[in-house]
Amino acid sequence: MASSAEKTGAAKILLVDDDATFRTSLSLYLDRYPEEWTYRVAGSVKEAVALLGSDDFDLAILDVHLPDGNAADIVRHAGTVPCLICTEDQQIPTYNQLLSDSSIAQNIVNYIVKPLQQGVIWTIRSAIRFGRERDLRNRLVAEATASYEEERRQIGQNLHDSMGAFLAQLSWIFSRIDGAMHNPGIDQQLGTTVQAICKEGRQLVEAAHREVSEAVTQLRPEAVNVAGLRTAIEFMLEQWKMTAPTVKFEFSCTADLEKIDSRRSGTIYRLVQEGLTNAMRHTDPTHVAVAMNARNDQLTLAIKSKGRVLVAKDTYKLTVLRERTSSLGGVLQFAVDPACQESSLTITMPMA
Amino acid sequence: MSMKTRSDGCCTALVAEDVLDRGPLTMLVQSGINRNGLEKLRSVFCISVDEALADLSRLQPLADAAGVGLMPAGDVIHRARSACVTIGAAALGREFKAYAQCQTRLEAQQQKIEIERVYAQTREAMTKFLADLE
Repeated sequence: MASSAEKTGAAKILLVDDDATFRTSLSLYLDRYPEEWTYRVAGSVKEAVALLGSDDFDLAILDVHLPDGNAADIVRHAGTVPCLICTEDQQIPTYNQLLSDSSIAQNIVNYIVKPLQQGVIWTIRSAIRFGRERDLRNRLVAEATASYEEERRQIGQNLHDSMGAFLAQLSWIFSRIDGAMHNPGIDQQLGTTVQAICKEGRQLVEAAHREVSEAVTQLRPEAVNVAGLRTAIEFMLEQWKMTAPTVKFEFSCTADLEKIDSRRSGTIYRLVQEGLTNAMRHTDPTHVAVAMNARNDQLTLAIKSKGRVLVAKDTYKLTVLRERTSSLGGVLQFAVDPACQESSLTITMPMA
Repeated sequence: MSMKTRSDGCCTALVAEDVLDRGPLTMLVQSGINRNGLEKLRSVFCISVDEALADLSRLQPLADAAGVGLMPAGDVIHRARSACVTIGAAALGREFKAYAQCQTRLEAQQQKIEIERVYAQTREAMTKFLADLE
């Protein structure tokens, strides 16, 4: 893995503006520090998207208005590349409008003002550093998440193999004792008592087996691997329906979840699991809706619950969810609407 | 100070700072950009404005007398204004903005003349700025 400290080579910048004068002005600044970066220029959304597809950039500097679209159209194709928005002073509301779009806000790190100010170089350096540190953090979180999942998988496997085997053997032992009690040489009263104990023992073993199986399922979402993410989530919701029959559960999915690789699928499954658990634990809901939609290779997962609204957002345990979201290069937003008694968790992430 | 004739016949005075706010170009100089860099910027700016004016000339006949059809000039105006903001051509930027607000083809034609007049002053001011660097 290349660490942030290792990735100190010249950064690659994509500069997108349909105004050649502004591009030249910024180029004059950038050319002063050739050891720090190289750059490529584009004058339209189409050109920018083509360049993003053909090269790895550390930063994109984007004009808001372009002949064939606007900055948001490029940010959506920028993956995890941090973006600086070029704006005139009076266009800051436009910048804020871009930030309010949760599907792109994650990548917009700052803005630079036209005409260029002397601090522009520092803004650019800071944005590149931000992007590299975010990449590093995301890689670390992804590795930690993968290790965590692997540990869970191993615990699940060990539980299944060892506890499962022990419990099966114990069940056989009870059966043998029970069988031995039918021996004519055994005192009948003692035999009856022991057989009753064996029956209770076997019932306890069966209960323990069910508990272990459930724990193993929780630790290893096999359903994701076996049946796919969509079926696994539907199964999860069916289980919740049985556990909480008074709550109305809904699931809608317009995204093609088959496109998502197994590692991401596992993490998304955990996000849904954790989000649902939070909703059920903290909001005492009457209605829970899970929706998964895709747009421009971005997957949006929304979990909305109607019920008790949390006063403080912090009480909704989001740390783990944020870390998992971050490991997928995504962004998490949590909102409450007291008037509608609705809490909503929205996670937007790249599908690949 | 130079005089500027508006389409309504009134004259308004343009102060040098309004024709060319030296702030953006001075910022480049203070950041270590040399004269060659500034000459290049002026050249690109002039090409941009020339292209914008050519585009406006091309688009004007497509609009009818009531001004319907002037809208495609929006991108041209936006690009030209961005160029003006970049080099500090405040007055020229305003004239381009005024063009975008023209309601009729006649207004647009008159406003284009104003743009050309202020553009000439802007070029002179840039030349003077570069000369002052000597």
